[in-house]
Amino acid sequence: MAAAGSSLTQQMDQLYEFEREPVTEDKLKPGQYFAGLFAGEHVAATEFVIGAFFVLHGVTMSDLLIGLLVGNLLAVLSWTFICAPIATRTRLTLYWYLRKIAGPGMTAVYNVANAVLYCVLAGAMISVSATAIGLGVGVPLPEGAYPDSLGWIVITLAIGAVVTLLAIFGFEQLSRFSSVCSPWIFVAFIAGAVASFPALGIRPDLSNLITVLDTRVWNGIPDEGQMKYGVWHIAAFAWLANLAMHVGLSDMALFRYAKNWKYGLYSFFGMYTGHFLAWICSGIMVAAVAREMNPGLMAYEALGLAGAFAVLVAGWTTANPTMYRVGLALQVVTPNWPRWKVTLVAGTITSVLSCFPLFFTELLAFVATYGLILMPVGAIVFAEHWILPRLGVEPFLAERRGWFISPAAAIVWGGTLALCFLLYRLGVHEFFLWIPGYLFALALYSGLQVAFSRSARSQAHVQPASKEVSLP
Amino acid sequence: MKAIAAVASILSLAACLIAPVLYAAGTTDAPTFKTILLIATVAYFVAATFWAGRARSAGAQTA
Repeated sequence: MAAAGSSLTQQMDQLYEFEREPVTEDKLKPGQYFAGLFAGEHVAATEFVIGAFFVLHGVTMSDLLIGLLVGNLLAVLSWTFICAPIATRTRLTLYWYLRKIAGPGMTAVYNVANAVLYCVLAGAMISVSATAIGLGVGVPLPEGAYPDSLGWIVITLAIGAVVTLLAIFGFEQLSRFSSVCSPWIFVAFIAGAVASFPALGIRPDLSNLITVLDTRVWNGIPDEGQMKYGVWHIAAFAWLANLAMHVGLSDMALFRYAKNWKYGLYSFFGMYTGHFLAWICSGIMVAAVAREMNPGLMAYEALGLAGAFAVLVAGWTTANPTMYRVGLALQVVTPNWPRWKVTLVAGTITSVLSCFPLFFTELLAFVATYGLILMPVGAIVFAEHWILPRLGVEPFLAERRGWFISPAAAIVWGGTLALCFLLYRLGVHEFFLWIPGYLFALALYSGLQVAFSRSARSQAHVQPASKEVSLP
Repeated sequence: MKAIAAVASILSLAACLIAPVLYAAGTTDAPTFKTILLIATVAYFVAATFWAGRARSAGAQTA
């Protein structure tokens, strides 16, 4: 067991070796780099689905606007005050910082959890792309959660195969193509909304614009079987849509290149384009097709062939880097496998998942679950970085003691998820679960580390700490 | 050439935005607007790919 752990640790360390050292001063990036990155990354295929779902959930226009303004602001502030400060102080990725705090075993578990969640996300994006192809070849979107036609299965598997092969062979070229696509996809969202005006009965002089949006788009009436959402649902969702990245700290990888913590404010360019304008636009498009949740149909009806192409490339260009990251994350638990083999296996699993429309018809719940599962790790790192030094607890116990996995971190991760599950069973909506969960994780981890530290101090007369570890 | 490609891609993107505005304003009909949009889309991808490709190779030469 110890040998297996040691081998796994070596394997992971080799994989992330290139980013082991803190980023140096000469490698820091200018502000426009972050603005461009955020603006490009947050206009994805999933935006076609999320904004449309808000309409189906009977949100009113004022609730939507206030909720998105507040929720996206909270997301920007989370990047600015939680993620960026830790990243710019340590200049490390979450992987290496978590390794010091919780041990290599914890980073392995984190990687696998991340990979599985990424597979589902990539599968949802492939499903969204498939709705555009299906429209062209006359294959309808399955009615329920499962595939109901051979045509749908063939389309999703074919797109999945292309995405997987490109992730294996052409990631560099594809990332170049993605950067070309991003501005156009964003324009396609706005164009789709504007082109839907006549279908909704909005007059050319826009004199009835507000009335129509209020009565035919965000009219406050949920579709059958959909729960009604209010302003707090929208605000909470906008905040948690990227929970794993800001509060969960995985964007430390990005902000370690920032000159200072204020660069977190550049996330504004992603939130108020993709998670504000694009969500509003997809809401208008779904209302124009009688609330039929079919991204391909929505975009095709609004923009013709260009619309179907927009859905296809939005899914394709965002599924590909996701697949690439799955391959990277899973490499840590597939000893001696080359990257292509890992990506092939992950791509096959993702392609099979993409056959099930469940993953995009339940996208909002999945996004909430995704953030929730990874959030405790962010709380552990936050507590270790900001709270424990003020309580006089020695940092990086796992590294000092050579632990494979920190018991406190493992207890906190499992305990937090158990608490969230309990709250969910008691009726707390999934969008709100992470807030008590995060506070609980902060308190529990701090308490456990203080208790452990006191216990270790009482034994210090017998065995002193093995080595000194300092923050870079 | 790079400058021409850059201007062409920005103009194509602008055309992608203007076409639906004209349609919503009742100036053009749906088939015309969708054709304009498709042509502008093709033009954008040709110009932007050329622009991005040239920019990258120029960057590679100076690196």
